[in-house]
Amino acid sequence: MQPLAANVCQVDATLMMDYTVLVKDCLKQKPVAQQQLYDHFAPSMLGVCYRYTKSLNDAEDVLQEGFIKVFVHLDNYKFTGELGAWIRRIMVTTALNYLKKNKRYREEMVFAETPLHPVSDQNPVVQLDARQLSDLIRQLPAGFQTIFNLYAIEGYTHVEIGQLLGISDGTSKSQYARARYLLIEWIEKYSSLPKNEQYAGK
Amino acid sequence: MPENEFEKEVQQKMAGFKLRPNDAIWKTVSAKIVQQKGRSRKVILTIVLLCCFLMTTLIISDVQQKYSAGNKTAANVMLSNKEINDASIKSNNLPSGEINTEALKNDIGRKGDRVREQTSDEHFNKVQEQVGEQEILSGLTKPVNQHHVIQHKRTQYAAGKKSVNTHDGTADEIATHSFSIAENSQTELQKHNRNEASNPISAGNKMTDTNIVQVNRKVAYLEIKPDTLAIAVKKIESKRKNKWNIGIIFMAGHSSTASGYLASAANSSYADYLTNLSSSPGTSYNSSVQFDRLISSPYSPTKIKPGTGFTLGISASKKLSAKSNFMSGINYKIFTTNKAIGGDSSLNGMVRYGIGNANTYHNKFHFIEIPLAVQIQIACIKKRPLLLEGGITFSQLINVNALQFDVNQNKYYIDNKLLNKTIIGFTAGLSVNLANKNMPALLLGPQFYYSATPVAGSGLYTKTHYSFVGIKLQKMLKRN
Repeated sequence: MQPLAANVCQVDATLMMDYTVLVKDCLKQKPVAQQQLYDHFAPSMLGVCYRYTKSLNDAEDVLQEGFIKVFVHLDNYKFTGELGAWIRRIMVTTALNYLKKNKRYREEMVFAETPLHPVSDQNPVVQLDARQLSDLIRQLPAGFQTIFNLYAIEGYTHVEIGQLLGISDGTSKSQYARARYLLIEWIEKYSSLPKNEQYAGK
Repeated sequence: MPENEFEKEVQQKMAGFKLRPNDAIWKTVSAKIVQQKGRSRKVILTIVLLCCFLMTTLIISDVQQKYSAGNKTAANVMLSNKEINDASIKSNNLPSGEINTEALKNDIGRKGDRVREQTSDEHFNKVQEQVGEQEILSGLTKPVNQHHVIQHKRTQYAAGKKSVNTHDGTADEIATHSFSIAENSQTELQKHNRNEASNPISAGNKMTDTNIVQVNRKVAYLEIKPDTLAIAVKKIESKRKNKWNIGIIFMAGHSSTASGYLASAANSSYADYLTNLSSSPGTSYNSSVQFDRLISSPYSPTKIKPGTGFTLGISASKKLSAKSNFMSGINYKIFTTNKAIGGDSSLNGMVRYGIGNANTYHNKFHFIEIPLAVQIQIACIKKRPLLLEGGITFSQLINVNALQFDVNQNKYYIDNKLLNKTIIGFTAGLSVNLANKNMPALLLGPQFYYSATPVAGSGLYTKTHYSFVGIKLQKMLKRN
C-alpha cells in the first residue's frame, strides 16, 4: 500500500527549495520562519492528531507537543526526505506516546487477540467527507482506532505496527480486521441515514 | 473493486483533511522553544563556568606551588652561601700548605653536634662520585692551597646537595631520612676521629695532602648540608598551604526581591512597580495616560513578601596566608518569594491568575552559582577563630516560575524572558569555627547576599534585586 505521506506531500521542487530555506531559518532560531513552518503544517498535522485522539483538546495537546519536538529536533532533519512526512512521523509517534501515557487511552488500548470475530471483505464506496470519516474512526475503540490509522492511513505494515505498539503482527492483523469490519458497517449505516440524522460524534 | 481499495479511498479522503488549530498553541510552542533554547544555553554556560573554575583552580594551584618551590630554593641557596662564606673566612686564617688539625677536629666535632642528622655514607659517596676523586687528587699534585681546595669542594658539594633538597618524597619520608642520616653522621664522625687519633702524622701538627683533602671533604660536606628537618617542616607546611580543602556549605534564611539599594525586604510593592513603569522609557506602559489609568485602577498587584532561601553546595578553600583563605566552589541556590493571588484562570497551558488574596503563590528562583570569596581571621573568641568573609558570586538562573503582571488584563502571568538570567552579586558574612583545633573546620555564622544585577529588565521586578539574609554552615572535610 502507498503510504499517505507520499500522497499528501506532493510538492514541487520550488516548494522543496522554500522548505530548505525555511528549515535553515528555523535552525537559526528565526521566529518568523518558525511561525511560517508552523502555520504551513499545523492544520494538516492537527488532522492527523485528531484521528488518533478522542477529543479536539487532546489532539491540540498532541499537536503542541509534536511541534515542540519538531523544532527541538529540526537539526536532525537531513533534507533528503519530504519535510511533511518527517513532521508527520513525529506527530504519529507523539500521538502514540500520548495514548500510552494517558490513563484514559491506556485502559482502552487492550490488544487482546480475538480469533473469532466477524471480518469483511467488502470495499464500500466511501461517500462521507474527511471530517465525517475521521469522526467515525475516532468512535472505534482506542486500540482499533490506532491500528486502523497506522495501517490504513499511514501505511505501516503489521510488523511495524507490532513493533510500535509492542504486540505481535498477528494481533495487529486481527485487530485491524475487526476495526475494518466495524468501520465499514458504520459507514454503510451512516451513509444510509438521512442528512439531518447523521451524527458521527466529536 | 480490487483489494485494499477501501484503504486507498480512506487515504485519499484523509489526505486533504485539515483543522484550524487554536492560536494559543503557537504561543505555547514558541514559548517552549525559547525555554528549550535557554536550557541548552544554560547547560553550555554551566559547562563553560565549570571549565573556567577548574582552570582557575589549576592555575592558582600551579602558581602557588611554583612560588613555594622558588622560596625554598632561594632559602637553600642563601643557607649554603652563608656556610661557604663562614668556612672560607676560617680557612683564610690558616697558612698555606698546613693546617691546624686540632682546630679542624674541633670544628668537625662542633659541626657534627650541630648537624648530627645531616650526613649519610650513601649520600657522601654519591657526592664523591659526582665530584670525581681523580679531579681532587690531581689538584693536590700542586702545592696545597687550603683555601682553593675547600672552595672547590664546597662548590661541588653544594651542587651535590641539591639532590637532597629536591627530594620528592613525602614529609614523613624526609623526617625518617633525617633521623637515619643522624645516626650515620655520628658513626662517621667517630670513625673519622679514631682514624685521626691512630694516624701518627695527624697526632702532630702536620698532615699529608690526602688527609687534608679527606678532612676538608668532611668539613665542607658538613658545612654545606642544609637543615634537613627544617626542610621537612617547610615541606609539610607548603603542602598544607597548597592543598585545596573541600567542604560542604548549607545556608538557610530569608530571601526576597528587594527594591532599590538594600531596601527593606519585600517592599517591591505596586507603588514601586508603578514608579518603575513611569520611569522606564523602555516599557510599553510609560505614557502618562497609562500611568494615570494604572493609578486610578481599583486593581493592583499585591506586595511581594519574602520567602525562604536555601543554598547547598561544595566549597573549595585554599590558604592564602596564616590568617586568610581563598574560597570558591559551586552551589545550588533557591530563593522564594510569596505573593497573594486570586483565582486560577489558566487557559490552554498558559498560566494566568487573577488579582486577590485568595491564594498564595510561591515565586521560586533556582540558581547555580559560583562564589569567589576571601575569608580573613579578624579575632579569636575563646580560642575559636572569628572569620570575616566577603566576595562576589556569579549566578545563573536555571529555572523560575515568577509571576509578572499584565496591566491591560489585570492578570498575573509567567514570562521568564523578562528576567535577567546571569546575576552578579556580593556576599558578606561572619563565621566562627566551632570545631576543635585538630578537627576539620566547622564554620557557622550569619551570611548576607545582595545582587548587583537587577532581577529583571522590565515588568514587575524592574529595579529590584535579590537579597538574602541567613545562617551559613560550612563543614570542611580536612583540617587546614
